[in-house]
Amino acid sequence: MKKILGTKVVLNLTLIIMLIGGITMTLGFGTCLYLARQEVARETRYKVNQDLSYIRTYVDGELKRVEDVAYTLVSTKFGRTTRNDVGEGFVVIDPSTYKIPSEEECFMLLNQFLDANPSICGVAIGFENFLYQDTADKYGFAAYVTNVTGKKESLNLGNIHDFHEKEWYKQAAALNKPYWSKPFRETFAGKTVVCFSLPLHGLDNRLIGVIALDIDTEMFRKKCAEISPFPGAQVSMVDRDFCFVAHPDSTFLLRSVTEVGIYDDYLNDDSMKEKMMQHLGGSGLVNKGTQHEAMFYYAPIKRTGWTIAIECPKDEVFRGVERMKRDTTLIAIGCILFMIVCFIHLFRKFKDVTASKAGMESELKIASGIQMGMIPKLYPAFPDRDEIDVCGFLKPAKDVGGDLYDYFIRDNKLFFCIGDVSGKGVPASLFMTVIRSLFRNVSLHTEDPAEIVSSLNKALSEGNVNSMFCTLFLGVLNLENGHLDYCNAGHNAPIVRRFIDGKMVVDYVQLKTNLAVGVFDTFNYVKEEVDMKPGEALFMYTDGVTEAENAQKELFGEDAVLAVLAEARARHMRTAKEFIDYVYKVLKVWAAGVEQSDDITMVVMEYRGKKA
Amino acid sequence: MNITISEKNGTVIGVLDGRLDTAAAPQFAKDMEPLMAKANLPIVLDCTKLEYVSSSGLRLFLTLRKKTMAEGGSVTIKGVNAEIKQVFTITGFNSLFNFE
Repeated sequence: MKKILGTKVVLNLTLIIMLIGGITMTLGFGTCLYLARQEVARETRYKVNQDLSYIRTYVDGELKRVEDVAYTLVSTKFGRTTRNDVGEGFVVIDPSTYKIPSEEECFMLLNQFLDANPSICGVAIGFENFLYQDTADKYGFAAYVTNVTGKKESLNLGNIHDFHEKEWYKQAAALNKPYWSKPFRETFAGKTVVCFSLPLHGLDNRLIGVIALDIDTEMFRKKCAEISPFPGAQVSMVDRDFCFVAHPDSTFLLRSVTEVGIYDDYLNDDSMKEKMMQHLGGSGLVNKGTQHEAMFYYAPIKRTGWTIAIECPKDEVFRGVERMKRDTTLIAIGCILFMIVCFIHLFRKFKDVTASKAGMESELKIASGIQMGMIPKLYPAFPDRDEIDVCGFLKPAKDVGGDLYDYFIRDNKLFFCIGDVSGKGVPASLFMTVIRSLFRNVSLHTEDPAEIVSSLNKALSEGNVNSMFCTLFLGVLNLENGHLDYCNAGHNAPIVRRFIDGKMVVDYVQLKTNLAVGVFDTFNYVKEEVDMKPGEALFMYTDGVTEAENAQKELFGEDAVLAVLAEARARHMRTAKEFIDYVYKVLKVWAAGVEQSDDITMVVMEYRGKKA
Repeated sequence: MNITISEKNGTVIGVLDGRLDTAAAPQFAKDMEPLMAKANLPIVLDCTKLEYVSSSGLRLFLTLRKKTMAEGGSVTIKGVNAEIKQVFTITGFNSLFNFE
């Protein structure tokens, strides 16, 4: 039982450990994944911001270079320039120092300039009409030189359209400060360009004209395409009206974000758009379609009001983390399956133990049935015999026990015995059944109790390696005349009830001890005899009666047995069964719930005499 | 249930202490193995502190006695109390041992 309780505890413990392990593992994995995501997000932000900063520096540097060459051009050829620290400046032309060039001189100057600055793809200088009043041109004079695939084209824009109304001229003139145009398609060269315009003033602060430089935006597109912090990351650039200046897909160029329609959700994010319009940097999440979420990092180019953005698909950014998540989940599932298998194995083992215990218990029950079936239990034992009243009682402490009693009548003689095998349980019960069988067999051939005991002893002593032994009291009562032959083999002396001069006497039978059977095969057992008178009775018992314990570990005792028997008679207990029931009742009261530690066996035999 | 075994002048002395009941018997059987090994010598069992002997315990006394009979030793039981003496008497085992 202890072992099974242990197994149960182990099972419970295993379950608890598995639960705690599982929870710890889940928490651990969760924390790991969370931290990994955080770390990846931080790393991404760092890397993307580095790339953003790099592109921004490049673009801004190129733009500033254009501004620089513009100022250099005018300051060397036209007049004094003044620039403030934010890059805004103006040009003042002093006619006393600088002469307004002729149309030919203008074209020559611009041609030379383009040769010296290959990064500039077109340059124009237009004047207010009052300066070139004598020209025949329709809208005034504006020299324009452009590089068309390595070959320079020169033309007077005044012949084509009123350049004064064009953005490059009009905005610079109106704002009265340097101006970056929106990117546009330059039709002569077939390029997408952006134009830097610088107004020219006279000493009286009166506008004289505007000088404008075009640069090809292709280099920005190329630079953006070069950068890719992650697989699938896209670098793009929009102007102040959210039209693409650069995008990996060149068909997007100059088209507005709304028109392209790939960032609908991004456009709905007002805070992001607001920040871009205020030329601020930042980051956010955008949904491209329904499936793909992307991290969006952006930074402004203040010079032109542009915004550079790097878009990183979340799938790509967290690909490593997702793989880790998948792998750890697989490992975790593996671990859990393994633990479940172990647990099931343990559980089955536990069930087997329980089953084998149950099997043993049922076998013990059967064995108990067999053993109890061997002893006579019917009462009255011999209904057709008036001369004898005999009753037996056996209550084993366990399922099976080592006590025995038996009686039967042969040739008008009652053969009876009571015995107690050393030890308890299964070994004792095996020995007991052997003795009972031997008693029945040997008793068929002799009527001498000493002979019967000797035969039993001889049979039991042989090969008795465990030194098992049995105390035995065995008698043969002649029912005709009450003559009793008996032989004691180390058993407790029975109690006899006699009537001497009409007075009842209850006392132990004085007898020869001899020796328990099964000890020495050559032991010489001695027979004794007595004549029983009608009304005399024998009370035979095992030490389970005299040594019955109460809660104070006190033994019932031999004197108490004598007293109980006397009392039973006084209470008018007449039959053998009434006696036994009464003694057992007293024993139970004595034990008061203390578990029975030894088998209790009693046999009462009253000789009533032959009726006349 | 305890047993302390010593040897003095060719006599083996075992001092028994406690209750030799059915529950204690299997352990006592192991504890008395050194005695069994000296079954050719006179063995004295000091039972002054022995409180109780059950039939299982009696069986072990008998086992020891049988071994000494076979090997030429003897078993003397010393200082045994009245209850235990009675157990020996009832079963007839008193005839197998020397009592002091």
